[in-house]
Amino acid sequence: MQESFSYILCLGEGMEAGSSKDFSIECNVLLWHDKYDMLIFSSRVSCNTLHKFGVADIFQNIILSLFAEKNMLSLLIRFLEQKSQIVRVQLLQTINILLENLRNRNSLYYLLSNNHINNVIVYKYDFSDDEHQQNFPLYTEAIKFFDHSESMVRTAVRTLTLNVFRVADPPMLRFIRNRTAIPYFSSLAWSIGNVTLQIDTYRIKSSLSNCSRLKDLVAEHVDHLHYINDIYCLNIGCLNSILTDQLLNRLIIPLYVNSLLTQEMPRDDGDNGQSAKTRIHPAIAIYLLSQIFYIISYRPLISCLCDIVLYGEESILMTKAHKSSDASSNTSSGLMKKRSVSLLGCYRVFGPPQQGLSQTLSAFKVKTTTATVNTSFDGDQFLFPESSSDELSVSSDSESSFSDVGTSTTTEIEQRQDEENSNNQSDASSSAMSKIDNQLDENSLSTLKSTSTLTADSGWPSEINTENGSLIDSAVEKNSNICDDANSESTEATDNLSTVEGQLNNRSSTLFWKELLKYIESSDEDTAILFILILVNGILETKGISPSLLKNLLPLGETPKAEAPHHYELVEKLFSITEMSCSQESHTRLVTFEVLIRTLEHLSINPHSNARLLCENHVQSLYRVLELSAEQLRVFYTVEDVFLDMFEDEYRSLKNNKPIGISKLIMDGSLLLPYSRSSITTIEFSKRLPCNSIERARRAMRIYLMTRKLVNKFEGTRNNNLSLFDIIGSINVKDVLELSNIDLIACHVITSEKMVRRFLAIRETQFILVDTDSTKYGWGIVRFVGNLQDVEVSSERDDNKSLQISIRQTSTATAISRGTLSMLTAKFVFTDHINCIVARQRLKRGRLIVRQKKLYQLGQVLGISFSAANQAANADDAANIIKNDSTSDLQMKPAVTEEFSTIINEAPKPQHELKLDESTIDNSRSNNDSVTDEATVQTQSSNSDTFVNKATDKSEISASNVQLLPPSPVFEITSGNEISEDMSLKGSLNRSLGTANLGNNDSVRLLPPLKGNSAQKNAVDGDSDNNIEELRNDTN
Amino acid sequence: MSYAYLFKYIIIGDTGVGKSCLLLQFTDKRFQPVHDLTIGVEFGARMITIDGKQIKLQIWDTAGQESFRSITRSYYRGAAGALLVYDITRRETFNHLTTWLEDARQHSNSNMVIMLIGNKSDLESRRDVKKEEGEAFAREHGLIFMETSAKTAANVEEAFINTAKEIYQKIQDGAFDINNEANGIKLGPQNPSNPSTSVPDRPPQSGGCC
Repeated sequence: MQESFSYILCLGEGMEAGSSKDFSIECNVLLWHDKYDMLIFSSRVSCNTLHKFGVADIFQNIILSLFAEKNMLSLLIRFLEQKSQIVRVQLLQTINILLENLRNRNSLYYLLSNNHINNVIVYKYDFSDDEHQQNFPLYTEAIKFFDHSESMVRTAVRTLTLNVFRVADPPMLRFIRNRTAIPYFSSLAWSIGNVTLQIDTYRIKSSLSNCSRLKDLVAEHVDHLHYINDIYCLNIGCLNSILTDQLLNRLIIPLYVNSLLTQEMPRDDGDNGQSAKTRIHPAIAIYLLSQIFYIISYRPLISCLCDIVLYGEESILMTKAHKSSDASSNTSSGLMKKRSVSLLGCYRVFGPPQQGLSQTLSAFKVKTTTATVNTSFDGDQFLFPESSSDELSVSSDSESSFSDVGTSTTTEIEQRQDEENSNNQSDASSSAMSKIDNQLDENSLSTLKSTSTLTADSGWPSEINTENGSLIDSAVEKNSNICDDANSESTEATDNLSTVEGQLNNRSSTLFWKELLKYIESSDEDTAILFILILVNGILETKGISPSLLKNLLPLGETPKAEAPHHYELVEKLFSITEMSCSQESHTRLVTFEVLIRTLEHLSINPHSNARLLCENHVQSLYRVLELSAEQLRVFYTVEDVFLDMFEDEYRSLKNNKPIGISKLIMDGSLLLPYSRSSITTIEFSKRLPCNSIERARRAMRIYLMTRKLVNKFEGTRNNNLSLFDIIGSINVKDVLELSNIDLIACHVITSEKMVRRFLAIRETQFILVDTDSTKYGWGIVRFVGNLQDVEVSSERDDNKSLQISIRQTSTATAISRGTLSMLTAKFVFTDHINCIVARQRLKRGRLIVRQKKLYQLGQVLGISFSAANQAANADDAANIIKNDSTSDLQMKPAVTEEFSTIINEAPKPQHELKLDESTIDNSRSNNDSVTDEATVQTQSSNSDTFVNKATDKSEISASNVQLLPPSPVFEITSGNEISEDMSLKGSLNRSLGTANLGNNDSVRLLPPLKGNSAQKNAVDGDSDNNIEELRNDTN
Repeated sequence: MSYAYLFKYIIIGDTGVGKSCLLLQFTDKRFQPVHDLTIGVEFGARMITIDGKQIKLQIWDTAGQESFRSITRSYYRGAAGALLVYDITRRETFNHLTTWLEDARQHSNSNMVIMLIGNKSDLESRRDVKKEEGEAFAREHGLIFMETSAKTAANVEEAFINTAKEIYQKIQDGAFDINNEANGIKLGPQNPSNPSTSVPDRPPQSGGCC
């Protein structure tokens, strides 16, 4: 306490001394320079003291009275004038803390009286004129940093501006619109354009090393667009229209749209020389344009852009210079011409704003009341140019309202503005915009046609913009002339309207669209095609574009070529790319193909009318593509496991994965880099070309499957000729199964972590591990499910009772690319060798059957010609036969899995060709009509590693045959006494056979009865052995 | 003052969990009990030493970014580290962590180090979220975890410094592309290891925007 008093005193004295000795501040600084540290320290301590005793007001009062007595606050404030930043910051902080922590009313009064705090505020913000409050430093100071090199600062500016815009305060919004909107948004457009130019530069010399830089730039562009969209989403009409105007005229048209043309428009003078580079690579322009379609949701902008892309013509790019030079074709008045010349180079040229943002903004400090009126008038003018110009051409209302604006006095305008502001905090512009919106729906074709034609042909609306923009730039000078200018301009405008309307019907011009089609045709580079496809998708997928605007691209029904020329031409081109993609030499990447198919999907069915849009030719093309893609895939068709696995994987991922996210795609800067065949780069497979035969096969599969999907969609049928690939096992983990009808083999499953007792079963296409249900006799809980076709079994060399079983996960493409993920790898220990063999046989055969059937079905679908005799035995028939067989078998082996039973009953046919080429199939099928699949399976399994263990097999088999096996101790059902009792009753022999009865009549068959089939099955393995031969004869 | 690296941090979490106070405590070593809502941005910087190297931590505390997509995107993208803060006395701030984390993961670069912080550990009597819960959440999502108190300064230093250590380690492992400032890491001005490989001829920054 005492200490702090002394500090305050010390501080006070120091200050007093400093200020009284000499009032010259400079002198002060010199004198007290070495005492700054002390000053700062004292002020820190004193405010900490104040804070510490904040609760106890008595102490505070003492301190404060001392504070007041010494007139400390004014001293402190005087020190604000010091040049030293450190002192100033510390003092401001001290004052701030004082204010924040004082609870005592008197103390607060003291602090807030005498204008001290006012002085602080005035000092800080440098209000030169706080009477009119015509500045909003928080905002205007902040936006000066919108382009700061520190990304966090830029982010902060965006945050701040958006939050400011969000405060729906009409006077503030008016200030922002009238004073800052044009300079800010034009600078923003310029800045985005610069990012674009940098992207272009990087793309030219792109290599992997600057890949990350390129990605950053693309991300930056995306950020900008998101920011713009966020502004749009705040729904502030007046800002939105200015923003649209600036974007279109300063960025999108002069830079992006302009770059679409292969040949630069000739420009007549040095005017362009001085301006910045205004062309980027067309592919980049297309790419960035599609980003706009995918990110920005503001309908007027998107519709306008769509209109330009589809129906835009050359004149839209023209600078005013052109317009005036061939003015003979134009009916504009002489006055207009004169103005045009004077505004040379201002119109639709990508260039920097005439004045830097900070200069423009600082110009506000000099202002008069007249300036205010005039600038607000300027703002009002912005409601009409460009974005609302389309309104003018169609509705007489708005036309007259425009001339109202032109002729009315500034006061009237202000009044009107205020009224509108008070009505619904939006203003003239937003209501105009909503009118446009309505018209888009009602009469959108002509309205939208007029948008580009009008802006393109007359050029006057933008002229007003730039005129006004420059007015604002130079703040005040011209204010006396503005009214006259506006008046004359509006008269010209109404004069011009007739001309504009006359040109509305001319919709044949589709310059940019033709350019795009030309790219598709000529480009041997896949990137350009991909970007065009993305752009077209953007147009087709963006919500809010009226269907009638798209009529030429997306007709409502099948229409003759002449009526939907865009559609016809595009589809034609797309099919030719699709056809070309179906060859191994093609440069079409999978990502492009996917977008291609998606585009075709959009173009073949109208989403609204659901009508099929393809004409006869194109439908034929569609089927030809399907045929071509099947042909390509046929080349890769083999019976190798890897082929089926791959196909299955592709099939599943196409079915289950979400369709390609184009909105994600467009943010991927790596798309701009040249792609290669190399797999060394980290570029994912779909975004490069295949580099080896496996990838080529995969590509062929994906192309086939995607085409097939398109055909199915077009036909609208669920004709699934690959039905087997859709079978999903019906059993899931934790299901409770009644075990009486399931064939089970008891085993111990040993993984690296633990050993558990399970029963192995095969159900349809599934491999299942079951645990007995301790609460319900005769029931079991499923603990593990895997696909039978993915099971890999191998015998243990030294242990004839156990198997090594692993199940791979092939469900996702990523699993493959990362190396197969193992779902289960475990050692299975069976009760005895017989069970072990049975399990192995079942698993191997189950796997092979599933695989063979699938391969056969796929082969048929691909048109691989199996012999005519076997055509009957297609997969469905085979399935039926299997079913019949198994039912007939049922009395003998009631619990054996269907497929399995069939195999077991088939006499194996030695056959040594493993390859399922045509001849093999033909042979086998002619020998044994319906069940050749199984025959092949048999052979294959007997040819594989089962032979390894043949010797041991034999002895065991003979033993089992005469049923001399010792009682097996392995069975211990843990679920309860009753069961074990029951078990004991059944006798050991029964147990050794693996059959146990549980409870009443629910029998759990742990093994198929050995009598018939296990012996027979073993016979398959050892058919050279005499004993076995005998056995087989017996059973047969 | 020269430094070897500059790391940019962001602080995220629900309103009122003490983000600004953590920042103030770390950069200024003081605590301000009454604090207005952060409007716009608060910013702080401090030098620390890791492994004998001077490292400048630049901490950006941006409020209100949640409502705008553009902001979230660029905010996260520019940071090398993030402090994800919740208030141990308010369960809902803990419950919202998943959303915060999803956002962060979606927008940030994959190397960004995220530290989970349960703040206000001095208010033990009003504790609503157990320390174990925070630990479990961190484990589940691969975050570093710490409970701090901006008031008593407990663990505040550690939180910032441990995050920095993790980032530093990632740089040593080559996970971060230090030549790319957009990752939230900057090489110091006098860094001898400043490689000339950093993008050879960068076009002049006409707009200063990149």
